[in-house]
Amino acid sequence: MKQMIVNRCTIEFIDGESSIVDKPMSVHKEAPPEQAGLVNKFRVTTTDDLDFVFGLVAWPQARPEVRSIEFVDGLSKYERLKGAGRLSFIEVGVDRWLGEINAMKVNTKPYPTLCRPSAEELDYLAGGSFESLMHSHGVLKVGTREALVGDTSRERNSPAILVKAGDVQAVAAAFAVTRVMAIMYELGQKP
Amino acid sequence: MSLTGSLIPDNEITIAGTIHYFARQFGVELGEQVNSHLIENASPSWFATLKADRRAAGLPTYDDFRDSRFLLKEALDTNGIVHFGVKGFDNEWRIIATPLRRKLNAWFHGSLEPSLSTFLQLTEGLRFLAERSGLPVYKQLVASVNRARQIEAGSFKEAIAETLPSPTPSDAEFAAKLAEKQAEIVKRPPVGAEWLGSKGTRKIVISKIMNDVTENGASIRAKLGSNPQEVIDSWLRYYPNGGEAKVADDGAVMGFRLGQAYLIGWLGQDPIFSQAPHQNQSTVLGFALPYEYIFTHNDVRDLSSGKLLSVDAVEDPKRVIEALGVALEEGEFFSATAYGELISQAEFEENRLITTVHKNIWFKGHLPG
Repeated sequence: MKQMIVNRCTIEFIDGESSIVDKPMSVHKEAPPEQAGLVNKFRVTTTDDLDFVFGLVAWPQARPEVRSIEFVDGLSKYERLKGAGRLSFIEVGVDRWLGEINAMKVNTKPYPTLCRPSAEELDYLAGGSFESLMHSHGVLKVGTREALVGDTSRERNSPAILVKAGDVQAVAAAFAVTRVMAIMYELGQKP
Repeated sequence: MSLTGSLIPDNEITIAGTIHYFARQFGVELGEQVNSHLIENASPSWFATLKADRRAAGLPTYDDFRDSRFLLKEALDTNGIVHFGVKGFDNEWRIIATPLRRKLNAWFHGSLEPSLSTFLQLTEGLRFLAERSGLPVYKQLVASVNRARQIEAGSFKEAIAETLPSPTPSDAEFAAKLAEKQAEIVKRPPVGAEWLGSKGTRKIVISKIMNDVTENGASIRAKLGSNPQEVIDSWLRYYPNGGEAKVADDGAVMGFRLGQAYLIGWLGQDPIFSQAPHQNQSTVLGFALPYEYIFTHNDVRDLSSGKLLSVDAVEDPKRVIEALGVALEEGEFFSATAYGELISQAEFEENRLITTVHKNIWFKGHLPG
């Protein structure tokens, strides 16, 4: 099993694909809400004793996404990731995925929700340069949606990453920083 | 103990033994120099007279004129006679000797950590004075200081055997005591420091919004001792958002901040501060922090930054200043340990614990947490 370190997280990739039947977050137009997908699982353990299995799910008629598979053990604050914080990707061209970069942050609600992070916050969560960290784990490009895919919608200024389709390492690295590290560092929470 | 090996930075016993050797040897050589000069030029009974004068004044007396602490203290007394016996004594000698005397005191009281940094602080001072006074130990000091600097710079190679000092059993004994103390610190570091060792299995939740502590959903506030609020406040000081914490078998409470485990306090009586040696206020648990403080009658000044405690502390340090006022004279130096112990170190007396502080009533960044 391959492992990699992302700041205070250790990510261990679990060999083999598993099947999953559930409701994807972003289904394609006129597709069934419940689908059977294939999941590549990875376990995230942290310096504060979290043990959580997530999976990158490929759905037949929905956007690929990272979602919670099993919360094994850890501080209760991480349980928020059981039902929140999914990271979905837009398929771009033949073999590229575009993922919008949001982070779990305490903002207008008393619990963390996905919010657009600043560049400084991303660097803080990455324990250095977010962009360099992403590149080191296989992310192809980091930038705004406009810069990456020429997006002209009102989301064009949103930070995003471009990865090779199905690159679970790149996806897991982005997920660990923006979800797990954000919960660990209690991003946005005032002491 | 053998010092024929290299002085390596992670070998506290070698470092401690070598410092002890040099401090002792410096005293022996300077003492003999002073004694010879004063016997010839002042009085054969100069030391006995000095002892008698001190006894008459109600001051502690000295046992040995070759004690480096005695020599530095007396040499710095312009009204005394010892400085007449010190070869090369001048203003520069005095400037170097003044802080060295304080550091040597702390060293002999076991309150300086046997680290490379301590080694250099002490031996560089001793080297300067030994050179000025023409003491034979100077040569060994130069070799050891150079070696330590090379270790610090990461360029150390083989030690030159003939320049290494020959420590006595007393040096080794002193070094072993310090190593023991260091092992105790590693076993249970001060509150606010990173947690070491295995984590406790008992889980509690410290709730800031409920101002309560629960275990399995039930409040354990009543079990927090005679002043539960004080306990909760002290934990939240080191664990500001509260949350889950783990309790070890000895009652040490651990919480995570930014993914790192820290000791945030104790459930029940703090076993470190409640042990017998501390009650008689003669033994300090920690090593002195690399800061020196001066009591200014109604405040405390940190000598390195010049900051005043009343301005720098997060919470009102009034009770600390009052406690210092009872124990210290205006202008008196004192030090602190990472355990928050404020200690006064008088020559030839045991360390005196004045009071204890937590990080919010002390200078920012000086204490862990």
